[in-house]
Amino acid sequence: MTGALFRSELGRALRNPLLWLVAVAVHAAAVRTRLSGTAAWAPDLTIETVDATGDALFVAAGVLLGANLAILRERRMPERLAALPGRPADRAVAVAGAFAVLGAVVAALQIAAYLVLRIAQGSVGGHLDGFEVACGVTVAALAAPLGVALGRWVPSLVAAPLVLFALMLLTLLNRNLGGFGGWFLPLVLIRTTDGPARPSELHLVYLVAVGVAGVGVALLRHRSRRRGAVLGVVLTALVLGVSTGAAAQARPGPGPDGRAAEGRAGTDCRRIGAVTYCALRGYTGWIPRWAAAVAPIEAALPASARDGLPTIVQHTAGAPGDTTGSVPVWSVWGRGASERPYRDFLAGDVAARATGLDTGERCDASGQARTVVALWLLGQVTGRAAGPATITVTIATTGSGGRTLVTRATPLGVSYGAGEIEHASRLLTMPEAGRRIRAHWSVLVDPATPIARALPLLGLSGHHHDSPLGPPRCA
Amino acid sequence: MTDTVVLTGITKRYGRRTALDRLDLTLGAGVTGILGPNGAGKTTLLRCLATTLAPDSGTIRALGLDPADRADRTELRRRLGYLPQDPGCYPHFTAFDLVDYVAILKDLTDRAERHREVRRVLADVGLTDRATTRVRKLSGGMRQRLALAQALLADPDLLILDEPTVGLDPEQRMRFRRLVSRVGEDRTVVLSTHQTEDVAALCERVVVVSGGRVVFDGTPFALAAAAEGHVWSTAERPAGGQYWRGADGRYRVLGDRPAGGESAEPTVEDGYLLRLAEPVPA
Repeated sequence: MTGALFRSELGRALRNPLLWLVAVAVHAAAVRTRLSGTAAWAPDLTIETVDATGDALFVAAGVLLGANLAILRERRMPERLAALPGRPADRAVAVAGAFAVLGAVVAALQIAAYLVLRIAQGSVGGHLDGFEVACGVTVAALAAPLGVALGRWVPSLVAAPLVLFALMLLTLLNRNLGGFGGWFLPLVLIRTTDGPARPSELHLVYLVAVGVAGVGVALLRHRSRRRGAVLGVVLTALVLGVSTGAAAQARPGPGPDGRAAEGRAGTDCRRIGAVTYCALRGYTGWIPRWAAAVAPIEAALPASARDGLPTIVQHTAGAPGDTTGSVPVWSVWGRGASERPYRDFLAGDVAARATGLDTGERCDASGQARTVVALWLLGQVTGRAAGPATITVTIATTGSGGRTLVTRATPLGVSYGAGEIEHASRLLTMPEAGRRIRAHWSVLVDPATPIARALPLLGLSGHHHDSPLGPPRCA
Repeated sequence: MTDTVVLTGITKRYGRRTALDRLDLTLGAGVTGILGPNGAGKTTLLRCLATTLAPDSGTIRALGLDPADRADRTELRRRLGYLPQDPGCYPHFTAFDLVDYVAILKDLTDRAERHREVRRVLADVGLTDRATTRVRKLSGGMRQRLALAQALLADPDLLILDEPTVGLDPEQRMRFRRLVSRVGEDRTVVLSTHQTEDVAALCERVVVVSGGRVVFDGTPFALAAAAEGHVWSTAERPAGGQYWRGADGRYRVLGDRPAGGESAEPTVEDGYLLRLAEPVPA
């Protein structure tokens, strides 16, 4: 009977619009909020997986309510059911099983749909944690026994929504592990780019234990000869759940150097042209994006200067390390329209490094020929001579949705004026500018070469009036 | 006739109130009607028979099985059909799905066979064309027929019906009588009702319950015959006793002969009412 009952309940659960509506609405909301607008970042599976499993929480909510209602409907014809050979325990198991299977499938589909969508966008970084995905699927499944257990022990229509509200609230407050519940909650939505690995394997064991305990608690409501055995299973599952939850809780909390502390800071390097790109393990998918920001500059340089180009090294926000001879990129990279500031930031760094403007401190580079050359090089990437506009990029995200930002007053990191921008803009319109710059490279990038002396070499007419912006001058 | 149900000394109390008081009853094949006033213990009796309620004392054997034994109880539930007084329903289910769900719980696990059986009982109660209609859209009478359809699943050896004709129109009542009398040809049907016409038309045997005890057990004819010499017709309003004015404008009187009263043909209802008027034996 149990098989037929399970199939019957599964068929009804499949036709229940609640779950499908929740899944579609959450997926649509996730796509809209995370994949559009300025918050659009290149896919980082370390983050995406947590986001996707977080969405499964809503599927779990639908499963919990659906299973709870399916059990509570028995109140409508108790006497008729009581006179049938099918026992309440069989009905409870069938409902829990049906909703658990459906919840798991819907959550898996939802998580897969989101991850596939992100992966399809290309330039994927980060690590796909299978345990994390399994946690999301398991949460959706274990909501079924929880809903059934609630229906059996507290047969009221308000019980499940109240429990659900409390769980959702706690989960929301626990986003940076600072709330009540920690890793004892169904899901922890912390998504820190540079944090330590999440104890997802421990959490999976915890969730399975809680699910088994939930089924057992629901069955304990009914008289059965196997009640002792069920009680034993419940107690064992609870001990296992508490110990794995405590073990997960004891893992190091999120910290800026977490990734480095766990040995995940190692890099995989790849040479493209004259430039070496070193990505944190799992992030080599972003190297083509970085190369796209550097290659036009490299192509514009004389061969002799290309050898001096820095290595591009990905760093964690909390542990930038030694950047001598290298240019840093971070654990976040923009996508689509949001990629521009990240690209300008990196290209500005490389252009400044190629022309010797990377002094390490803010200085006045106005009047120097190399400033015009650096702006021209940057223009090879951006298509224009960039003004002294502030650029801000996010280099890390934290559990509660916060961000670590880096701001630079100009793309080159040094001060310059309208005259430099004007000369660079004119150069960008001249087809022979590249040839002239490469021919006089050593003179043009000499800090002692003023713009006035460089203008004839660049084929530019007119005069340049130095108007120092203020000390210190770039050496 | 073989006794399919034997109740011996059944007592059931709800707090201080005794619903069934050392009740003894045996039932065999055929249709038995249980009559009794409200609170007489009819529903409690049927619940005990249907295994949804365990008596405080006494024994029940039904179809050779002991409901107090777990395995026997499960087997008995497979073989009985029960229509409770308040059958309830799942309003969001279709008629077919609801009966199918009950069929599953009745251990009809083979899908094709079960669906055939569901279609059969729906046809028996005249709901074939409503199979895909959600229960919430069915009228009260249709819901009652749907509940009856579930009780008829798997050809039960013991059919227990508590107020089965409530909400049925005359045509449906005729259909119900035909259906139940057919089942009662070779199986045991127990029905509790307030409708003495149903008892007269349908039951081979009638049991009157009052105060938790059986106060009459016999055929409907015997119950009617028990009123012989106590039923009168008169044109004058009687001074006292049980009486009512009939459609012909004459008063029908139960009890002692009123002044000017003429003897009238007694009915099952007359016998029932007179039986209830007698004190319950200790």
